[in-house]
Amino acid sequence: MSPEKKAHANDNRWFRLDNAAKIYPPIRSARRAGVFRVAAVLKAPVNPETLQKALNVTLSRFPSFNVRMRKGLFWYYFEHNPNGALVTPEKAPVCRPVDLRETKGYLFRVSYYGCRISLEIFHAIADGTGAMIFLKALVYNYLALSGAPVEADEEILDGQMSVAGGEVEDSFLKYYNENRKAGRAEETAYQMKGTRLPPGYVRITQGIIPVEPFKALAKEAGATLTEYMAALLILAVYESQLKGRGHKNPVKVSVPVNLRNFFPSGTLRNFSSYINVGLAFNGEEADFDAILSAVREQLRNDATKEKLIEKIGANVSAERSPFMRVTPLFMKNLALKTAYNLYGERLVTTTLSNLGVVGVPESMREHINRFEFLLGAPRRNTFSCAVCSFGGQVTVSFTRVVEETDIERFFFRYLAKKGLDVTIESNYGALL
Amino acid sequence: MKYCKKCAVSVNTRHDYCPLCAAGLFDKSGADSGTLMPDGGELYPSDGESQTYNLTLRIFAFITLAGVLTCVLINILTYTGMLWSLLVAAGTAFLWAAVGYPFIARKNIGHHILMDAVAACVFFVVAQFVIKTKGWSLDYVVPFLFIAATTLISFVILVKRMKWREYAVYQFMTIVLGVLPVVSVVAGLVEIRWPSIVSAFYSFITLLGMFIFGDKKYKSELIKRFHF
Ligand SMILES: [Zn+2]
Repeated sequence: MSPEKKAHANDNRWFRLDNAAKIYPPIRSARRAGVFRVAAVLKAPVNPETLQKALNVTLSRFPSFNVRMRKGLFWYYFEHNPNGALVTPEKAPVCRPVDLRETKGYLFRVSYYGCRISLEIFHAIADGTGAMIFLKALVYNYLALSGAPVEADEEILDGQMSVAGGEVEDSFLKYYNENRKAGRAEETAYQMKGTRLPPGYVRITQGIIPVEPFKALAKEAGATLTEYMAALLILAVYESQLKGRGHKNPVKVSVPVNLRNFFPSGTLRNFSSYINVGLAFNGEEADFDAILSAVREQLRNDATKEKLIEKIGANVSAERSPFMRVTPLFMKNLALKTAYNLYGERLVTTTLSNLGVVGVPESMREHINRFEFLLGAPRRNTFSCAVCSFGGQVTVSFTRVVEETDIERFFFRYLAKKGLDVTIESNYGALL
Repeated sequence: MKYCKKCAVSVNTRHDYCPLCAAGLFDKSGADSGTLMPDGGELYPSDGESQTYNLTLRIFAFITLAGVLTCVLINILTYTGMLWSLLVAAGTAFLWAAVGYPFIARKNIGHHILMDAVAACVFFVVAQFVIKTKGWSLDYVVPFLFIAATTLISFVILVKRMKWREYAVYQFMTIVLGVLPVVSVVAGLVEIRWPSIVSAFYSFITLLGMFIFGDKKYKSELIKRFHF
């Protein structure tokens, strides 16, 4: 195919929203943006012009990001966005809603601040893993265009898009088995009390912790990092609000699971599920070990191919039911919004999302200080927590919408007391 | 770099107080890593603030609604066998669809042409019902309204060829509506048949034209918009 014809074919490309993406547009509002952030902190200040060039190169390689969202009669869809995305200086607050007039229809925002390159993205486009792959390619192109001697390896997607690799596929449909569906009923979770910040304010607290001692600490307790942190969050909730009184609703943490680890998939779009873990406190004294063993058992029980395929089954069959399919979009939106407001966020106390180790080519390492992963402000919950690690450091990022710092304080003090070297960064002064 | 003795953590911040516990910080060797974020505190519009209070719009909405309700009341109190207030209501609704709605929503022009055609149809059918004359609205007005709307959108597509796909979907919906008068022929609702048949035929010809000139792109545009 001639390059001209090829460009034309790209213009006509359009995508259905994947199964997990479909919930985000209906529930999107000024206060529930559905936006998360992945960012790279470099070792030198970011040059906006070079970043813009890098974004142009990267975007043409990632067609599922190079889109705008349109309304069909029955579903939203993505189509090629011809406008070209612009990089902007970072503006507070973190993970504010994507303003389509500002981004010219793009559902993400690439911004720079000091040494940081941030990608803030609407969840309908991609999950954390997909967004991180885009960010890594962007950083690679940025470094290459700045003249750094970097070399791509299998961690970096450069060159041409590979359709064969299934980069734009909806992997949920691929692994959907209509005979295996999980039941959906789930108990509402304890919601933390707190003094809400004014709308539009978020507080970010990040803890940077050396990974090896942290892992050793978790291992000593017989757990993985995620299990350990989930248990510690539950303990923090208990210590700050439930000590000595308990509550009928359990404290539950939603732990997103990368389905690519269970089912082979090269998709850059959404392909994750979640497992809600937790326990109720009845007023008796609770201790960390008991919480940890409960969390560990639930996570290991549910993070299996069999259980996850049932979850996929429930979600896909809901989407593909004949009734759902022929209902006009505006009615679907109303129904999904209502259902989400009634149940959605109430089922969990908070979210702990761990992207794991961010891998980059050896040649890029010396230019990068760290990677960050942040979740947007929750609506009903008071905070959420996102984690990723790079270069021997774990970065734990809390996003909170209440004044009280109890959770972060307990969390980081606990780890410091265990002998870990914790460095705190935040987007606010203590007396703001 | 600074240090909080109470929390036993290092703090990389411009501020003098610990972000975790608000205790005073102590200086510690080691430079700041220059990775800070912009200070929070900037507002983005919240749910309530994003919608500006449009006074003019509210005045018009109030006047028209109050006016229509007044007419209904007078109509009922002085009823002489004619529901003329219904005509006022339909006329007002049409004006809102034709003038008010484009003013508020600013959608694509194809969308507005379609909405106007539908609103006008409703108005004329109601008018006929109120005045109790014979079936001129379904006989003539409705078919010719759809012919006009289809023609208008075709014209827009020709003028704005680069963006034709934006209008194609409204073109298609108008075409579908243009076929509907035939239903009234089959159902025996009309006495004069030829305008309805012409409307359906015109719709069909337009559709044919779109498929021939729009080629595969037209088909893919329709699949995109109507996929389920
Ligand atoms: Zn402190």
